[in-house]
Amino acid sequence: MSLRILRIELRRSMARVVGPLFVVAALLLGYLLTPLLFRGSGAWDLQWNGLVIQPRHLLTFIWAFIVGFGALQGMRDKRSKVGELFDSTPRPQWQRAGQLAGAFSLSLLGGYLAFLLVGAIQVATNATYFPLGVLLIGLVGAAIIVAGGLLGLGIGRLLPSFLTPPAAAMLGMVALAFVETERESGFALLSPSLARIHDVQAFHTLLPSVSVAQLVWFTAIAATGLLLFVARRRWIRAIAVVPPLVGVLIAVPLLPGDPGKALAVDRGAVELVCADGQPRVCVTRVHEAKLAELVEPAREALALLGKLPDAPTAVMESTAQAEDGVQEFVPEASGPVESRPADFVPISYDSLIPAISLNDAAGPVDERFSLLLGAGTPACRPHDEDRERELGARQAVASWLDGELRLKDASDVDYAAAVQEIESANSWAKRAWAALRELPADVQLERVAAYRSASLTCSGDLYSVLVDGAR
Amino acid sequence: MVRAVGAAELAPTSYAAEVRAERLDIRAGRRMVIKELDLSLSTGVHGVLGPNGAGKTTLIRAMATVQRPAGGTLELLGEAIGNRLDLRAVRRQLGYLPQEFGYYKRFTVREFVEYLAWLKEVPKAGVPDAVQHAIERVGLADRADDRLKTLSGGMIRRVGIAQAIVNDPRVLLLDEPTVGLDPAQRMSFRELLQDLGKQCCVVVSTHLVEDVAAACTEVLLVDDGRLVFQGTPGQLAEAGSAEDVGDNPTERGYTALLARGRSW
Repeated sequence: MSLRILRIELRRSMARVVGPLFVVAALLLGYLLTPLLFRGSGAWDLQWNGLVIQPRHLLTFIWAFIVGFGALQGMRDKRSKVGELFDSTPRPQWQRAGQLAGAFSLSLLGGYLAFLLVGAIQVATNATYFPLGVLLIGLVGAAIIVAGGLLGLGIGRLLPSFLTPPAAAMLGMVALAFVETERESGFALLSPSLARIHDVQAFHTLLPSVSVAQLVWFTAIAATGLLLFVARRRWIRAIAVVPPLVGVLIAVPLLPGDPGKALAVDRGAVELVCADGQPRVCVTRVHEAKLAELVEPAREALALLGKLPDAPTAVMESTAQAEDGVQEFVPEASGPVESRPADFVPISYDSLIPAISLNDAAGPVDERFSLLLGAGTPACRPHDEDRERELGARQAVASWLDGELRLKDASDVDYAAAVQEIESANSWAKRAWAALRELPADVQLERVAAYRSASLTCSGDLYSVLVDGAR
Repeated sequence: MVRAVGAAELAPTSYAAEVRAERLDIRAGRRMVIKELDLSLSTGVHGVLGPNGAGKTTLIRAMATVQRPAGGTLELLGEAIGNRLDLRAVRRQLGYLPQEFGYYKRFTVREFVEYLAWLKEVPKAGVPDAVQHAIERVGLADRADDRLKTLSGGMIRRVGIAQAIVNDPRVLLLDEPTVGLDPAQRMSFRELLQDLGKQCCVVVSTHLVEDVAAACTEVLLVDDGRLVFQGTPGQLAEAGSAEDVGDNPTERGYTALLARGRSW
């Protein structure tokens, strides 16, 4: 290795563009695509696990281009016609090619690290839980990216035609798209993207065995690319087929049969952390940073709920869905009824978990008010057509507990359907509030208590339970 | 400029001539291009002349170790290179400008010459000086930090010469080095050749007979894969007579010798 030559290659070869391009593409996808399609509570800018897991999905769109750029670079000697001159020099081909492969890989690694750094700065303001597994998962990401570059270099040297780089990129895209549809087999986990794992929740981590398998596999791919690129003799290039074969033999037995099972609940992440004192207010370790600001509104809400018979005595983050294992999200189910706890108010920072979501507690609807929604119960039919009736009733219940009518503010929402839903729920809330306030005080209390018990079992029409006293 | 002199250079040479060929056969494709050629070249400037297709480029490629001889022996610096696997020691002492000189367009002159110095395993400490010296010798010091893609054809040719001499080679092989050079540049190139010929064995292939007459200490005339003449430029000129075709004595000698070789 010569540092001077490495510096020249970093400045003058494709290495000068691939790293910066990687950062730009990954950040664009991270900021534009992720919020639209796959924004779980473990997004790349929210949690450490997410920071290293979610970029894999972004690789679906980037990896093939890395291979294409590699192929373009791999053709340099042929295009520049330097073979005749360089063949007369003493330095072995592997050193010359190795220098370029090193510069190319360094550039890609730099791009990857820069992306991680941007994410890490944001994660650091949000998360305190840093599991060591993050390092392994991050390392696998680096191996995948470098393997793509080296594979491209090898392909470019093997087939130096102007068609090769676009063809390599296209084939890569097609292969990745194919893997996306190949959902039933563990082979899908040999893809640079984590197949169908799109939504990363804060509790998620990748099974270490999956990471090890992927590390083996992509190291093998990198070895193949490197052999194709640096080897001079034909028989050494022929050997390049061996590493992937060995890689598959080692990796596949380590992979679960169902790619969805590659994600697992991180036991450390779901451990509950409670604030000092009573009543108990607990969040999962992964959301520990949010505990301090939750304690006060949570205890106020519990005090207000204390008016009701059989009132909940704690506020705790729900890990119900997480404990059930990582299943594909089914919209119509809001979790098994049995898991709706009566003795505590279940909260969540993840919209996919059946609990009171604290994600959008802001403005007029603060955390205390959120915890009072439905008298401290999760919504029963958050995905039904006429959910606004239930949502309105929940707001009316919370308002009653809080002492005054409070409505959601739709002015910051720019999604038309959501605005309409908020406005509709608000008008139901006003109606329910007015009807409730006309009743004698003891009946009001009875109705709210009845609402809570009906909501805990999701039985009956909840709006009617509150407004008409239906059973 | 003072140059560090390595132990290898001070060691007494164990060979009589830098390049020696004996009954050398070289094939290019299916055709035997060089046939039973005997040759012995030592320090000095050796101009290789001959018509197109005579085998000049093939001969130089074999000396540059990129073309393996088909038969006979070829020794460079006393080492037979026919079937050797490890040519590194010999290659460190070679400078080569191929007829089709390939280069990386994005590199600057200095970077490319430095890259070649690295490929030729020039000791690290001496590289910056060697690069600067080589660039100065071909008169490109003012363009040293320009990208190669911004240079004219003649300048690229001079970069080719600079990379060939960056390692102070014992054997310098230049295939058509004056293509693309303007008359003034050719004059200074001739001076450079004469200068280089004092320390090493320079083999220059060219079409331009007057370059040979002006700059070479020896002329090799190759025709149809055979060496038909080896002598001084003066001897070449003497071989011609007023009846032969040409504008000057050297050219007349050239045509006369070629015609004599093809006496059928």
